Amino acid sequence: MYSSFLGIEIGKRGLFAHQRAQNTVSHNVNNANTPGYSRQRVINESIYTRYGAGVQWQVGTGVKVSDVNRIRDDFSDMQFRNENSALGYWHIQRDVLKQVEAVFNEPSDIGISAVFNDFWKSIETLSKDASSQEARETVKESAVTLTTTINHAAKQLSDIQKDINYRISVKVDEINSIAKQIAQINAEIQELEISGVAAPDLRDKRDLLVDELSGYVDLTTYEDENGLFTVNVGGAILVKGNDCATMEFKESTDPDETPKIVWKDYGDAPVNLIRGELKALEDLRDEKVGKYLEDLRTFATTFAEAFNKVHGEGYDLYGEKGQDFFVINEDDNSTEILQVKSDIVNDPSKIAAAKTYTENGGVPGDNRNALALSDLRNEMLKFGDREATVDDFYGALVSKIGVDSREAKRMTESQYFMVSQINERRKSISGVSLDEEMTNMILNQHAYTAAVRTITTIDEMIDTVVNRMGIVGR
Amino acid sequence: MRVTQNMIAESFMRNMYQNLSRLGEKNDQISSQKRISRPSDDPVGAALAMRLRRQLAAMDQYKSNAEDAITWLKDTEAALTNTGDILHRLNDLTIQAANGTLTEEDRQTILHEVQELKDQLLQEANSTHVDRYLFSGYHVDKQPFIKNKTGEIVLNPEIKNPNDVRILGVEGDAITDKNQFIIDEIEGLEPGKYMLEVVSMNDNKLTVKFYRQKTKEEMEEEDTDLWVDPITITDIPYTEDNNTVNINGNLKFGKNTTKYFKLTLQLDNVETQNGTVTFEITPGDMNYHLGRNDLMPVNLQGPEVFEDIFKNVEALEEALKANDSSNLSGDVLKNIKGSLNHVLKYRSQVGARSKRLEMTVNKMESSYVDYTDLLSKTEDLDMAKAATELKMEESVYRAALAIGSRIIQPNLADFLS
Repeated sequence: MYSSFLGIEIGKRGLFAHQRAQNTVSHNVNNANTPGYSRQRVINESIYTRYGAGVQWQVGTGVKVSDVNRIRDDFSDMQFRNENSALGYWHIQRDVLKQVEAVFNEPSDIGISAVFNDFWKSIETLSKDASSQEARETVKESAVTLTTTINHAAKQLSDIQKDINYRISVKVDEINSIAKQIAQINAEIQELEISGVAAPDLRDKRDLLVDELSGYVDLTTYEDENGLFTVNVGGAILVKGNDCATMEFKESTDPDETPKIVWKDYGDAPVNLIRGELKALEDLRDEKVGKYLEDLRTFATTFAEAFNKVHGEGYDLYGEKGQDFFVINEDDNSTEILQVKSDIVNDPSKIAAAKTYTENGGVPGDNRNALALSDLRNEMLKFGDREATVDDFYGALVSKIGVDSREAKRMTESQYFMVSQINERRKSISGVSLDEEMTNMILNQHAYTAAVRTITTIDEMIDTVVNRMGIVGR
Repeated sequence: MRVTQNMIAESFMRNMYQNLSRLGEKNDQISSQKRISRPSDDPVGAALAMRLRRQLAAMDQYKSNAEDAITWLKDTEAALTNTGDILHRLNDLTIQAANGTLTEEDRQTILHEVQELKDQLLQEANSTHVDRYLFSGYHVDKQPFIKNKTGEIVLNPEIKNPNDVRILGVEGDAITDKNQFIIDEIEGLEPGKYMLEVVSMNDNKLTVKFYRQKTKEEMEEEDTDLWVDPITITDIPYTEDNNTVNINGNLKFGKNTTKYFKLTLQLDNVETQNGTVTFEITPGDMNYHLGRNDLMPVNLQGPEVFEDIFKNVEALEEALKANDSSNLSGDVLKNIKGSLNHVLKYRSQVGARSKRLEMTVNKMESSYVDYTDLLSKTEDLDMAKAATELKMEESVYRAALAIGSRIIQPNLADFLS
């Protein structure tokens, strides 16, 4: 025998459950376009009595919302983060390498290659009339243009490196900030869930932050049975529960060494990265832009040294032995790699085009050293441990930049595609389908209406009992 | 697979982005008219384009070099033609003068004309091309021939350059400083400045002359040659080795030696020093680059061409003054005729060089066109193809937009009343 009002109570419980479901539908629909939102599902459970209450079976007592599920696939999340790291790596490479290509501006009529051509032409013109002041002026002018162009390219590359360092420091700050936020959310989630309250929206927020972080560094995450959430970057713990570590972009005490990204909390151990935007910035600075700058410097100094040597074997219009034509900057860190010697700039008669001299001055028509200088172009010079002509060495440098840039473009495109695919799968699992929600909404509405109906019915039934029973003879 | 509106919209957006990106690229290409705007567009093509540009610049330069050489040779040709004409006249005058029936007056007239013609010859020998002397070798600022006090035409001593020598290497205890060479085992030489002249080189035997430079005191006495007291050394054996000639293991010099350009030695202490010095004697050929390893001399050496001519004309002068008609009809006439042939020889040499230069110009011009074509194929855009592709991308884009607008709109909410 159970309470008369059980029916109403059941109805009421139904109303609550269906309202809750409807609210969830509403929540889903309104968040259909919210980034990182995972759809939520209300899990209904039927309730029943434990004790017979006078009958031999369990008595159903309605429905209750046992849980609000967050529909999310952790495996897809992990895949996404892996590929996103790679995407982050390559798209930064693509962007910066595009800048580098703009620095060199080849093939064109204004890049180093073209200026170099002009310089050789001026030397050839000098070899036709070593006595000509105009020819000498032209040699001087094109030499100055050459050094200016080379130095300018070097400066721009160096500026890109400086810019990269700035971006690294900004990124490190961002990472630290995200890590703090994740730690905070961890604390909130743990608090709520320990007391039995589900926290799907907080988890969504956390996953969104981790997604963002994965673009910057390659990471792995782990959540244990107690809900302790760990983020691992390069083998070291970035976030564990409420605690987070801090990265630092540290200058080295040795001025020749580049600054490094280290763990402040782990005794300045270097941060071990494989992918992600941060690693891309580091690689670009040291292995790409750094190497290009070094090659440019090698190109310029080897050429200048070879040129100076031949120049020193000749004599100028005054009958003096040729001095250095180019001044090579000893400082490896300066971007003013080459200058034309000021004596020559001020007096192009000091260009040593001749191979002989007289006691009273130079031999103006002797063009043999000019010819020798011109022949340098075809000579194999030693660039570090390679032998090549100046043109081939420079061409190889430009080719390398082109190949690196192209690779970055290709990889970015393919990674972009990969990431989109995985994202699609994630959306397929977690995304809100308006059709689905509308359908559920209709179901909920019907169920709600039906529940109301049952209440009305039971109300009528009770009304019968209360108001229409025992009124005979009244 | 469960599909949501969001997924469709994103997929649509992604494809739109790719479409637009391709459209943008095509636009870029068409507006710049270049298929390769940066190395990453086509690294191999970019490298090729750079190499081609370099080739083109080189070819342009060689063509320009050849053209300049042609104008130099034109002036040379003119001088030689005039010289030939003068020699013709001298030839006729010599024949006239050889006729023993001339009066004193006639002879004087002829003598005057010969002297006039000699001065003209001097002018021709001292011809210039713009501001440079044609026949002075490297000393383009100094005239090759001058008239000395006695009316003789001689080689300008300033172009007998004591420093026309380049030290290639030093072994042993030889000391070198500028033009000081110390040489062993040459007898009979006083310390001083010397000049070595290679007189002849054949059958592995060499004849050299050592001239001594006048000391300051001697120079004040007479104003003649700077180089005096020649000592001839004959039968010096030599061996050839590539381009170097080795003498006695003591003297080595480069193969381009001619007898007109000499080297100077400063012998300070002949007995105590020894060693070997390797040096090169300047040939005076002004070479132009006509190709990568292709050098061509554009000038003729004044002494080679004119020295003997002047000697012969002066011999004519002397014979006229002495009224030596047998000499006039004999050696003098023979030598004048010889000079004519000499000039002809050089004229044909100049002609041959000019021909070769014209060929070079033509070759460069046609190669330039070929390489430009190749560069264009590598670097430039095929406009027709690109325009077609652009139209295609545009229509794909439009179609996608149209279809997209249909897919995205409706959902169930629109149909529930």
